[in-house]
Amino acid sequence: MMDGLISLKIMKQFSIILTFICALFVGEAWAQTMVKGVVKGNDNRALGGVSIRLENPKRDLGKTGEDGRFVISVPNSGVMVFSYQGYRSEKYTIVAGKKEYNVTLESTAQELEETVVVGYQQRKRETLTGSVVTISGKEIQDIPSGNFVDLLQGKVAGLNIQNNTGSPGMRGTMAVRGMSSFNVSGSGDNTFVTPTSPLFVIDGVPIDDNSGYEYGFETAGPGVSPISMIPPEDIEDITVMKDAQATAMYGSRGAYGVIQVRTKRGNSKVPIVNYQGQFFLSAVPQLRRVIGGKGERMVRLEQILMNDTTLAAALRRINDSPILADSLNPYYNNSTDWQSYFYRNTMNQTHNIGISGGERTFNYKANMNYYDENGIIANTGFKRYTMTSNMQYEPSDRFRMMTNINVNVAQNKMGSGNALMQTGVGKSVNTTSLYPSPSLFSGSMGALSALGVDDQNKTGNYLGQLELQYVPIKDVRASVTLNYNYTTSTKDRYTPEVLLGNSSEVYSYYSNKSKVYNRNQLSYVKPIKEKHLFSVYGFTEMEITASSEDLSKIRGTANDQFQTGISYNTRNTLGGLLNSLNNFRSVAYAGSFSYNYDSKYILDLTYRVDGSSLTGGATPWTKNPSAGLRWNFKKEKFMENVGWWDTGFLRGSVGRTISPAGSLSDIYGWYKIDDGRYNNRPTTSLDLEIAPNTGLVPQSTTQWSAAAELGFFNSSLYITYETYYKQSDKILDKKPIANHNAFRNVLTNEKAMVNKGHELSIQYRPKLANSDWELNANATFAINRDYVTSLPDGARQLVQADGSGYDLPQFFRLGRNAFTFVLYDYKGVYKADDQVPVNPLTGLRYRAGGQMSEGKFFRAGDPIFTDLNGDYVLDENDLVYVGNSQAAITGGLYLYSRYKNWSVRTQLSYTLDRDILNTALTDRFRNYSDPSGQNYGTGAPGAYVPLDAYNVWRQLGDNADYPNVSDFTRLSLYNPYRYNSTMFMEDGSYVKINSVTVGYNFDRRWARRFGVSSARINLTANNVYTFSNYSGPDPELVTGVGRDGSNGYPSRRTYSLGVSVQF
Amino acid sequence: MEKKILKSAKQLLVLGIGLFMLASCNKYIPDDQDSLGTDVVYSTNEFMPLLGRNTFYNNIVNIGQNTSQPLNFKIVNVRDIDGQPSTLFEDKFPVKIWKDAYTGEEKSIAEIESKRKIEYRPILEILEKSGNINFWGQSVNSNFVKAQPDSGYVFDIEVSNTGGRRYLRNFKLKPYRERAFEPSIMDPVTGLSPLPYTHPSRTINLYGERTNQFVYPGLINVYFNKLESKGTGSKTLTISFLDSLNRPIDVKKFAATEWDKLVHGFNHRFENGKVIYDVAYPIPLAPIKTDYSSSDGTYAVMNFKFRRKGQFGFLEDCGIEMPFAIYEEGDWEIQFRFTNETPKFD
Repeated sequence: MMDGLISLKIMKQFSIILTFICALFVGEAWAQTMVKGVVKGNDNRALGGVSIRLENPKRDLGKTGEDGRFVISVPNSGVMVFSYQGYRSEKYTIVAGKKEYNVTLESTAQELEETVVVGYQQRKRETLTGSVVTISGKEIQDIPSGNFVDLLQGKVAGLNIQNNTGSPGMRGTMAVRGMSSFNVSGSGDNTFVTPTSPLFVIDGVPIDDNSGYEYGFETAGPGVSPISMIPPEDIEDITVMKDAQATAMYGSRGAYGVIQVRTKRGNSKVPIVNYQGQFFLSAVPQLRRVIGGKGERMVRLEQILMNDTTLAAALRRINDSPILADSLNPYYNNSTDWQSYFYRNTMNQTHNIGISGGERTFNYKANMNYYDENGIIANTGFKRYTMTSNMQYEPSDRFRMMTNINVNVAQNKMGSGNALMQTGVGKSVNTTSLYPSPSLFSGSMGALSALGVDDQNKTGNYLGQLELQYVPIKDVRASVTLNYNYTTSTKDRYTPEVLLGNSSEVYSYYSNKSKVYNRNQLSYVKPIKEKHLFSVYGFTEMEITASSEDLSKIRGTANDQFQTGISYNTRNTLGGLLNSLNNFRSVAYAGSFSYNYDSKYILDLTYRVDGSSLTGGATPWTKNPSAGLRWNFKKEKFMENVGWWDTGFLRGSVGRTISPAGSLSDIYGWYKIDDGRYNNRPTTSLDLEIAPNTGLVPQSTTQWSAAAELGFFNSSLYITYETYYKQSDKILDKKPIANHNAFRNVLTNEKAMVNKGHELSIQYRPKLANSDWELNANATFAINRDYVTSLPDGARQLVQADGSGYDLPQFFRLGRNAFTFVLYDYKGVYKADDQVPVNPLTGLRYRAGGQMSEGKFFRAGDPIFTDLNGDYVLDENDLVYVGNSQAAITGGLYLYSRYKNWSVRTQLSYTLDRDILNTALTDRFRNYSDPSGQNYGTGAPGAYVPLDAYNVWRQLGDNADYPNVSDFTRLSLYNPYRYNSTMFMEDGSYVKINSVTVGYNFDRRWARRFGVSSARINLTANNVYTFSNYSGPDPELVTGVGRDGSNGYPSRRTYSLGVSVQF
Repeated sequence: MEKKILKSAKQLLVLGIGLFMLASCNKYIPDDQDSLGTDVVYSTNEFMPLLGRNTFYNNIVNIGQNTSQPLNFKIVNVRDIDGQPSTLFEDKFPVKIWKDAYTGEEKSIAEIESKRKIEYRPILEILEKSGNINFWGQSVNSNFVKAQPDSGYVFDIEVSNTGGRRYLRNFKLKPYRERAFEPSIMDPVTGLSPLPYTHPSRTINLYGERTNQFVYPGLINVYFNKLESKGTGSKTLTISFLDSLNRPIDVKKFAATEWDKLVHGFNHRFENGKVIYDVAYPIPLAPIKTDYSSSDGTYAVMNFKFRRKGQFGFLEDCGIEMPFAIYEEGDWEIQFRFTNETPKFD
């Protein structure tokens, strides 16, 4: 492995040297005459980045700047070819002596002439039968982000992104066309949905972002994904593939959709040096409201005096509680704003330098990125250093070589939490303001650990990639892609002894993951009589992934200066290899046939055979066919004369893709070191937790989809409508088996679900007569519904109990949305005692379940929970199944407008029809159960939420929204503020202004005076404002199962100043 | 031209409908209906209530993870042990049910009765949504129900929701014969009483007049006597004491007794050395802790108290504690007889 690393480093150095050499050479050759000019579209829009070529001999002359202007040196005669995506290429003959050329390019039907890579094969967008959406990298580059995925929110219909963690460098949850699994892990507030994020394909190589990087809480390590290491500045475009036809050729792991990222390439004879820098302020968003100081003490006193059993008991309780009685003691005379100790505004920066150049025969790019963000929670942060480079050598039309070498290093700090949750901070923030601020003296260890733990995580990602293409005979193209990707991560955390019960802890973690990927492809394209175009290609794909994790935890070092492995406390010291050891192999054979009749009728057929080491030996291969059709009805005779209608397509596809799940040990079992001893030595035995099952197969997705694409008015209005039916079968899950078996559980592929929905995107790009103005809008709308269609053992319904105190089980029922809450139905507050229903049999009032006691009978001020089974006892038989924690409607609106040099870019997104549980508010109300602060157990008494913001029951006859919080002697008996009630189920719909960017392009001539070819500054505000009826701070900051816990990492608001300079 | 456009529009429409149908592949998605699993289980399938009193079987249904609530429960196919259908449980009888909550703080019989009303219910009843089983006992005479040692009755329970229906079969109902009061002196199966009396639960500082020995509860016999009714509908409870020679002892000798808190009765009066209360039956009225009941509410508790100067001149609290329950309405007398000797009162 070391060899590989060293060779990678050498390659990296080599590539840098090469870059410089090239830069030197290219600069000085072939200068004959300087000409200048401006390139505009027929809509009078200046076109930046238009490639200018000499026709014969073929070579690149340069590119236009962002304002469409160009200055190039040309030979004295010849033909210049101006070409640009979405516009017809124009040829201009060089006239000797003419110094200025004003070029107009005619727009073709927008989008359609573009080419995209689908299934590792370049295709004209016009001929695609699958669902493919491309976003230009430019749209996201003004916003600083540790993970570019966050910035795609609302941009693609059907790509649902919820930025539900503000942890720097981590991404939220994402799903293409709904979730593909309804498995959950964890319990209580830490219940998480098994992620089904799409497959990322970075420059032609798939990277699975689901395994190992899901969320830092599951992995012991830093949890930084390779996706976080891609600098947004280096992205050329992002292509999202949604349906079965588009993802068919990605086969293994393409089941959840595919997101393809293309990084920038060199394409300019004159080398371009690009600098982009951003300084940004991360601001703390709205936090939770609490009462402080004397106000809190008075509320507590009043609560005790009004509600204790007797006055004497109340006085005793107050006098026994120093935080209430000893208010003049400086130790208790506080108004500590706990949130202020953890949340802070930070100044951050990111810098990116890109050097690119070259022409068709040889081009190169090197990009260096530095990103440094300090989290808004103290002691957290994310730093990224990346160096990516690629080059391409194409001496003739028949041979091409491309290499990529990337070296990325990321460093993150998570304080006492993990990548997703900040439990230590969550607990500490929820502390009474009467307690003194964190210090060793006051003993608030949770808070001190959050601030004082030294947590350092490093992740390195090294990638080398080679792609060769060769055309042995005409129309036949062979290509080989070889990729090696190595990721290593370490975590070093030192907890000083004072924070951990007088026993320090050294926690060190190391993991490595390597991947070898190879694809050999052969394609053949045959046009017959111009109108018929046949294209056949096939490839084999192979992947070997291996990973292992080591962890050691050493307790009790000699003192806080020794932060390495010297320890005496062997009893609490652990270490060794984690059981996540993984060795994965997969092999696939894929073939594709495509027939195109005059671009009018297009048929795509693909077939892919997948085998992987995660498939049980019983059925090693999965076969995945797909078919797609496209009809360009605008080309039919009957549409010829409809002038205002330019394009019209109908397309449909059906296909199947798979995603291997589980691990090798699930199929063949697992040996473990047994506690039982033989000859006083440990023995080895079979792990009886999960029974091996060689019948396991990958999860498969079968998708039907249909779409219409319509363009009107010179393609200024382009409407895409899509509908789909996506069936996710053979979802892997663990189920318990009868206890007379030796094993406790078995894994089976028995679950299934269906997603169906509609997607609409409308693009409006009017061609304005005045070239000073430019307008561009893109609206997306997606509605998705999911249904459970199969459960283990043919059951119609399954309730998975939640072992935690939250008592929030998972409920699945055939035909119902996958994530339903199981809650007590809350109907308001009893205004008076005699409103409580009486059991006619016994004459007793309705009461809370469990052992009968007087305090459990409901009375005025108590919550009305529906007694579903009519037994006048509120227990688990009265739970109802309500709500849907998954968003049904998502979408966004993108607006871009430019006036002369000024531009404004706005991105909005919305999520509608979603239910969430405000668990954090429940926690705050529950703090009222301990007014004297004596019964908190470990930790500290909780913070008090100001009641004036909530319509809480206070006295007889009140018509309140929330029940009495003050009756603390009874609260634990009838539990009015239970986590599982509809009282806290709220509408989680929101409309969010994601970002607003104001940009200014400096005048080119002015910029030139400073030796700069173009310069731009921008001011960006990100996560600007969220419109919502939700009572908590942020309806987006909820877990995948829709719970707004107290321990989440709030999303920061950033204000950035960006500079972009091109030399 | 227009026709052509119309035609193409029609074609588009047909295609659109086709697409829409594709989109609505609803028939492949199962209906969202309740689920009825095999995991609805009764924790008991043999019910042995006592005739003459209300027995409510709560929390006897266990519903597992594969079944949706609410469910509908129904008793079907009630039959004798030999399979003959029985219509007995279709008849309805007047029973007293509560309209308002019984608190133990009611100030009069009328107040208690205003909280109750009479409804007609079958003796054996299942609660529709919870599956709890009620056995009503306030029919005046339940001789028509076969009681143990007879094998009783067999019935099935139909469980249903929108997901389907299922039958839970062969529940046995084997009632015990009536026992009008507790602590009972009757053999539950034969109905015979080997002894005509029972004993109080506790005596406190009672010392015999003759021997100065402690008077144990076993030395006090308690007789429950239902008196010939004085008038229609009169419901009283009389308490009296006899000494070892069956001579009356004036209840007022238990001078420290809180007569208002002795039983939840009203209008108490002393006649012939006895105390008489107007009461509402059953005693206790509801299974909750009140001033008149045991801590779990299953029995009423009477505390007779007096104070005397003890051995060393201390003032001692003395008394008798008697938990009891009476289910049958009428005029009852509870009589305490000191068998060996009368306790010292002074």
